[in-house]
Formats: sequence, structure tokens, C-alpha cells
Amino acid sequence: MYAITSKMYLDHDENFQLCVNFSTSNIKHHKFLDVDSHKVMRSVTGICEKLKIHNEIKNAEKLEKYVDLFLQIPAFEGKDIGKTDTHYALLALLLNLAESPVFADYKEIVKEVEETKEEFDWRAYLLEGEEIYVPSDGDTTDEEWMDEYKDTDEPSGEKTVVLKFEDDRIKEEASATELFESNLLSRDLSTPAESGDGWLINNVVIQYWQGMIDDSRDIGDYPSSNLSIDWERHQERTNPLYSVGNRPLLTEIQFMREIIWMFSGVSSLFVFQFDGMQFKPRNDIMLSHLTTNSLQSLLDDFAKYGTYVQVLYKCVQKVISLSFGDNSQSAETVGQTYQAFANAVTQFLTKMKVDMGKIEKRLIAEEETITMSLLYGELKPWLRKVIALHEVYVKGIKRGYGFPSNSQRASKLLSAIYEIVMEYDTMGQYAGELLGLLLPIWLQTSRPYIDIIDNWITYGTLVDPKEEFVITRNREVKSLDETFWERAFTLHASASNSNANEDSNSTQRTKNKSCVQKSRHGTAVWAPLFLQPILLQVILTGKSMEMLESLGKLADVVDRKDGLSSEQESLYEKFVNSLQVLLCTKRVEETVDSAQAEATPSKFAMFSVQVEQQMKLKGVYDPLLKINFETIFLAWIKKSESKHSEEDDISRILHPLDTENVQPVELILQQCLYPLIIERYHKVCNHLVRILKEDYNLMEYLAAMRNFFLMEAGDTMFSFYTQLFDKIRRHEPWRDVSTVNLLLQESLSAHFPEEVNRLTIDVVIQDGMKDGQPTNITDCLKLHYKVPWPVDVVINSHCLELYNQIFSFLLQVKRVKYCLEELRFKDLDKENILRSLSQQELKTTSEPGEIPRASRVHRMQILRMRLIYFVNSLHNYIMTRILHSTGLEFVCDLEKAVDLDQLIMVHNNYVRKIHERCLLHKKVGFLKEAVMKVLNLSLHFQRKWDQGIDEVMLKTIQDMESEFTRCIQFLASFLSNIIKRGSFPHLESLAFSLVTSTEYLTAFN
Amino acid sequence: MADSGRQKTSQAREVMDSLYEISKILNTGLDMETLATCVRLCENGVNPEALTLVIQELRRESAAIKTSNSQI
Repeated sequence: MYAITSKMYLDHDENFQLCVNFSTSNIKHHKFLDVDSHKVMRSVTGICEKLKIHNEIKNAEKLEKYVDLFLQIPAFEGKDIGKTDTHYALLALLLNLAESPVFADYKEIVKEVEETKEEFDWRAYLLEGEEIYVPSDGDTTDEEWMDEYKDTDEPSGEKTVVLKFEDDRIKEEASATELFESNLLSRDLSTPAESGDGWLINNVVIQYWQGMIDDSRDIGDYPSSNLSIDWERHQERTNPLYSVGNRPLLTEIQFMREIIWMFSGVSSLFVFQFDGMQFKPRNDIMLSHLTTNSLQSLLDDFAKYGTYVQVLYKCVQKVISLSFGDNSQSAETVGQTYQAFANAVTQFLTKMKVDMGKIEKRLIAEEETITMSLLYGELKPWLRKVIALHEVYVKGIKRGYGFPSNSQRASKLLSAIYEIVMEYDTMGQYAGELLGLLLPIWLQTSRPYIDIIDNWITYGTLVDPKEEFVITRNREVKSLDETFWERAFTLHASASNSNANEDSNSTQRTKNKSCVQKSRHGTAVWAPLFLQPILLQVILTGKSMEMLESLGKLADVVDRKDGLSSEQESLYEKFVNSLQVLLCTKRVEETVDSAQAEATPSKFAMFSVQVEQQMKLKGVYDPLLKINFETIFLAWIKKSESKHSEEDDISRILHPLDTENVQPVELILQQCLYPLIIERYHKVCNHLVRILKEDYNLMEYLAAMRNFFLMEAGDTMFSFYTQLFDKIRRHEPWRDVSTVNLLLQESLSAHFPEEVNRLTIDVVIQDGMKDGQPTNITDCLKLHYKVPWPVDVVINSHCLELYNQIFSFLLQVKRVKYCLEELRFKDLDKENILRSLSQQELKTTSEPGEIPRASRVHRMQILRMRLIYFVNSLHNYIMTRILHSTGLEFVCDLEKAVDLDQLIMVHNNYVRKIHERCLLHKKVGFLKEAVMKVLNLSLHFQRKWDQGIDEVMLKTIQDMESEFTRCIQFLASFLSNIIKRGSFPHLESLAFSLVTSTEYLTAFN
Repeated sequence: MADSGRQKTSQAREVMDSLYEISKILNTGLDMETLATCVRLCENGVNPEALTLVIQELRRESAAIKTSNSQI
């Protein structure tokens, strides 16, 4: 009753009694008349008029309205009707207290009115006990809760403001808000007992997150609902040291809602505490019908999954922040693969959140029984998906953080998802729905990668801004370079790892694309798993595209009909489409198509009237032009429309994938993705090979190599080398470039006039060559053949070097053969005039073992024939058995080669093979040594022969004979051994001829 | 029973709200709590004019005390 006085004199105790006395006396002993209802109503209308006069019609109307409303309500004196004396008494009181209502702050009142209206809403809302709350973001929860809290208390807060205003009306608005806040804060701390707050506290959920405890701890009707309390009491009784502490008692619904919030990605929760790494359930809370231990074990389970969800959210956030943040400062960039993965995960999380929202609504409605275990069962499918995704995250992203390059990380992620998809795929029926989740995610994640491949193999451009593709363009190698094919594209991994692993690993990882086997090993390390079976084709196609581009023939393979009118289907779309066909879920696509077909005619009238008029007015009206414009714009509109709906389309396409009848994933890939790539590969590579063969005359160049380096053009080369050998024999000067070139060109002009410009010969005199064996005299000659660019990828400098070695060797053999063949009997038989004189003097003193001249001549002739036989068989062997037959094989292989890589490989193999078979390889060095000995011997023999028989001692002949025999025997026995083993069939004829040449010796001996 | 009780509460609430609105429009300077006290007093038959006198007197006195305090 004395609230008003006590409120005012709270700190004036001595005055308080005075006031009470004054009030009591005044109230009890007054001399006022009773309230006159008419008088009151008159003054009310008077005030209304006054307000109207002061142009405050709104206030007047409100006053009237509220007075009417107030009088209508039957509330006092226990009566059912309004307009009692108390009503009027109250009005009179207010009227008397009124202080210049006209000049009162109008604004404030309006605000108050609005707030009051809201108050009704809040009450109705809060009376339900639970508010619908779907958090949108993990971070804002706390603020939202605070907001909610503020909202809840706003009405009472405002009341406080008014109370303060009463004392100090001059105060500014700004200070008023400060005041309001401070009031609010102070009120937060002290447990409010005032009427409004008390009402709120009774009707609103206990703010358990603020540490408030519901004291009532109502004891339910059922014994099971008091399990926790009973248990605690028991504990207290049995264990004297047991102390419970003051634990907040939560309801099961609160627990479940917190769980659902946690699965929606909220990190700051009351029941579960997030420590930056994982969720842990609080241990100082209790549920009325569960003991602490069972509650904890239940919550632990949820917390684990909550942690997974949070990890996924964090991962998505990190990717997003890295991709939209300022990347210039941080070295770390995020590849498109990561972004695609984040996108896919976000889609999953959004769906999960929506589902959580639905469950929460059901919880709020309280129309059905949901317990935590029921909730657990209901969430089970989601939880399994969460586990699978978390596994993907751990395997794909977390383990990939250590890798230095984006390409490695992207491959790791793609491989990890693929592996997991395969893993679940093998589980069959059990993991059907997980596969339904993971397969689309994998498809979405692999999209950037497939797009890169698509761009590369379809348009020849390697668009890889984040450097995540396993292959990178080597910028140092220009496209017009003979090493282009080998070095133009390198693995990312090899570049970054070559420093770290210089040992055996680096050789495995470094890519040598000329060699297929090596490249298979090399790329297998870092390419995503799903790509590995097809990677070689991808690389070849990509390189071929680049090559075609630099050849200016790109348009032949890029069937870009018209960029505007027909949008080309990308590889990914094709892939997804074929996937749909495979899984028999094509129907969605069809409906989309039909919808688009319907939409197009309506768009036809796209020109504004002004444009049409303009076109007609200016005399440029051209119906054709108009039609063209229309098609172009139509195409653009279509395109832009499809862009808009692309996102939806993809998910719409992916999600109806019926995983029921999914065949093994590998099969899907084989049937859907690989054929597309392989088709492209065949097309591009065949085209490149055809272009090389037809437009760039690859075959003719190869033929030229054989003609000149391998001396298949026998007549031309014969005329060249015979002249040269004659000069050498006659000791004429020949070792200068002009002489040799002149000889060559003369011989070329007869049959190959067009090659004169390309083929040149060079004389390279190296140290140590002069004092070498007589056969090496021609080694200084080097053939040069100008190979234009695209062909030199096949016929590269290394091959030319090998060709030249073979050429030198052939030249040696030819020379020996020629020298032996050119020997004349009369040269041997000629009388040496100078010598004959002295010989006659010395005749008597000649050695005893000296045989007659004629027999010496005979031996020389025999030796010559044997040498010729040997050289001829060697020559035959090389020219027919090796060069010709290997050449035939080579041509055959060339026809079969489908891509440039094979072409290069076939050629390299060919060159290597003939190089080896011409005994030039280090492996057969000892054979060559023997052969060279014979050749040198032959040249030596030729010199002796030319000197005449008189100069030749019997001993010299015997020496030569024995050395020759030794060599021949060695070669014959060695070769026949090899033949017996059957490992070198091509050597058979040579071995046979050698064996026959030694047979007579064994016969004689 | 419960229904009629709830109705009464809501009516009382409405009365209080209306009165509070009127008091604000008239710029009486009463807060909800004081108003509720006044309503209870009036219900018990206190003369409103006497109550007005008491309230105004008390306000004046308290204001005087406050100013004297601040002067000191």
C-alpha cells in the first residue's frame, strides 16, 4: 500500500514515517467530494478537444479510445459490467495528476504505444514456452541469444526508462539510451522481483545458459522421472564425501534442441562445449530421469558427430575465406577442386540443416514423443553420412595439407574421395545411400579437374589458374622446338619434388614423355586415382592439341560450329549425361528441355519498337540483318538463362541418380568418362599423325634419312663415296668442306635435285683422329640434314647423332669394300725398279725361309679374296639383313602408330635397333673391335698390295693371315654361339658366312 | 475455474494497459508500479482527489529534499 512512498523515500528513513502519517491522514480525513462520473467524462472530452486544438489529433483519438476501452472492461468491484465508480475514480486520479498533456513529448508516447503493442505479441509468443530458432550461422549464436534475451526484456526495460524520465525530463535522448542500457545490465544481475519481470520469469524458459537454475525442480508423478534426484540422494546417503553441487536441471527437449543446434553448425552451445577442436558435453548438468553417467555416455556419442559436423563447417569456411580473401599476402591458395568440394559439402550441410530445422519444429510442437534415443535413431542416416564425409575430409584434405602444391592436394582429395566411393561401393547394399551421397559429391568435386582436361583436349588450352592439374606447361619450352614433345609439359610434382628427392624417387617422378613406360610410372604417383588409367591418353591428346595449335591446324579438330548458336556440351556434361543414360534416370533432363522449348517462342519479340523504327527510318532496314540479330540475341538469352539455372541443373541432374542399380564405380567410369576421352584422343592424335605424314611429309623425311644416312639410295651415295675414296687413295686433298660438299651435291643432283639444299656435309677434325686407325679417316665427315620444325620432334638431334654414327660406320665398310675391290693384279705384280736393283744385290743374302715371289703373290691373292669375302658378307649383312629388313619393319610400325608418341617411339626404337645391330652399341664393343681390326687389316693390306709384291715380306703376309684368321675365328665362334642360343636371329647369316670362311682352314689344318 | 481465472487475469492486464496508456497520454508521470498501487488504493475506496493531493505533495517534498541535498 505504501509502495509509492517507500519508493520515493527509500533513502530517507527519518522522513518516511512523516510521509506515511501525512498520507494516512490525508486519505482518511479528506474533505473531497465523491467522484462525479459526468464531471470526469466532461474533463476527458475537454482534454481531447484541447489536444485536437493543439494539432495532436492522434493523441486525442488514442485517449478517447483507451478511455472507452478502459470503461468497458469489467474488472472492479466484482461486477460483470464496466463503468463502475472505481473506473471513474481512477480516471479522476489520472486527470488530476495530469501535467500539461499538450506539451508532453509526443514522439516518446508514440514509441511507447508501439512497444506496448509489441508486448502483446511477445507475450503470446513467449507463452508457448519455446521459440522457433534456426541459427543461420555458427558464429552468431551468442549474439542471437543475447538479442533474444534483450527482446524478451524490452518491455520492462522501457518501463524503467519512463520511471527515470519522471525525475528528469530534460535529459537528452542519447543519455536516455545509456541509462536504459545500464538499467538493463543492473537488472540482469539482480534477480528481478518486480511485477513485469516476475511475470516473465514465470512464463519464459529458464535461462539455463545464463546459469539460472529452476529452483522448483518439480517432482513428477512418475518415479522414473525422478531417477536422477533419487540416485543423487542415494549417493549422498551412502557416500559422505559425495557432493552434487548446484547443477542446472535441463529438460530433455532442451537437450535435444541443443543437439540439433550442434548438428546445424552452431559452435557455442551450453550443453556441448567447443574447445576449438571438438565438442565435449558439459558434466555439470543433469536430466531428471537419467543418471549423470548414462547422460554423459549418450551425450558423448552426439558430441562426436557434432565435432565432425563442426570440422566440416570449419573446412568449408576456410576454403571460402581463402578463396575470397586477399590472397596476395598469404601464399596459400585454394584450388578449384577444393572449392568444388566445399560447395558440395555445403549443399549437404544445408540439406542437413533443413532437416534439423524440421525435427526442431516437431520438437517445439510437442505433439509426439521424442526422446534422445529416438532422436539418435532418427539422425542415424545423417550421422552415417557425416562419418563418411568426415572420412573424406581426413583422408583428402587434412592429410593433404602437407603437400606443397595445389596439384598434389587436389589429386589427394580426388583420389581420397574416389577411394572411399570405391570402398563403399564394394560394400554393396549396405552403403547404398552413402554412395548416393558420395557419388554426387565426388562428381561435383571432380568437375574442375574434368573441365581442365576438357579445355585442354578440346580446345588445346591448359587453363589451370590455381595450378592444380597434374600437368603443367613448361614455359621455357617454346612450341617451335624439337624438344617440345618431350619437355613442353611437366608434372607439377616433379618440379616441386626434384629438389627434395634427388635419389631414386626423383627419377621415378620426373617425367620423360618420350618413353611410354617411364611416363606410366612417373604420372601414376600424383595423378588422381580415377584418372590414372586414362592419363596417358589425356596427356597425349593435350600435347597433340598444343602441337596442332602451333601448326595452325587447330580448327580442324575443334568442331566449334558457332560459338553463339549452338552451345557445345562440355566433357563434364557429356559425362554426366552418359551417366544418366547408364543409370536410366534421363527423364529429368527431358522435362527441362521441353520447358526450355516452350519458353523460347515467347522471347521472340525481343526488339523494342524504337529499335525497329530506327532500323526502318535510317534506310538501313535489312530483313536479313534482323534475322541474324534475332538468332544471335536468342542464343545469348538462352545461354544466359541456362547459366542461371546451371547450378540447379547440376544438382538436379546429380541427385536423381538412382543408386539402386549402380554398377561398380569403375564400370561407370569405363562406360561414361573414358570413352569420351578416348574418342577425343583417337580423333586428335590421328589427325596430328595424319597432318604430320601428309602435310609435313614426315614419311619423306624418314625416307631421306634412310636414303642418305643409311645409304639406301645406293647409286647416289656410290657416286659420292667412290669419288671421295679415289681422292683419298690418290692422296689428293679432300678434307675441306667445299670439296666434300661439291662431291655430295654433284651426286645428289642426278637423282635428288630437291634435296641438294637440305643435305650438307661437314668436316669435323677432332684431336686424336689423325693418328688413329686408317679406317677412321672418314670419321670426320658428318652429314647434316635440315629437318623443319614439326618433323624434328620425331627426327630429333639425338636421332641424327645416331644416324651419323651409322653413316660413319657404313662409310668405313664401304671404303674397305671399295678398296679391296679396286685392287689390280698388275699393281701387285709390278716390278719395283728401285727395289729390284738392290734386291738382285741382296738376292744371295735373302732369308732362308723366303718363298718364291709367285707363291707370295698367290698368298696375297688368297688373302685378298678372303678379306673380300669377309667384307662382302659384313656389308651384305648390314645392308640387307639389318638396314633393309629393319627398315621394312619400321615402315610397318609407322603405319600402325596412332599417336605422335608412338610415332616417336617407333622411330627411336628403329634407330636404336639399327645402331645396335651395326655393332655400334657399347654392349657389343668387343665384336666391333674384332670387325674393326679386320677392316684396318684390309686397308693395311690394300696399301701393301699397291706397293707391289716385292715390298711384301712373307712374314708380313703371315702376320696378316694369322691376325685375320684369329679375328675371323673369334667372330665365327662367338656368333655361332649366339646363334645356338637363338637370341639374335638377325646375326645368323653373318655367322654362317663367317663359319664357312673358316671351315677350309680347319679342313686344311 | 481455470478459464475464468485466466480471463480475469487477462482483463486485469488489459485494464492496467489501458490505464497506463491514458496516464502516459495525460503525462501524469506515473510508472506501472505506482499506477498499480493507485489502482489498488482506488479499488479500496480511497478518494482519488485525496490521493492526487498526497502524490503531488509527496513529489514536491521529495523534489525539495533532492534539491537541498544537491545544494549541500
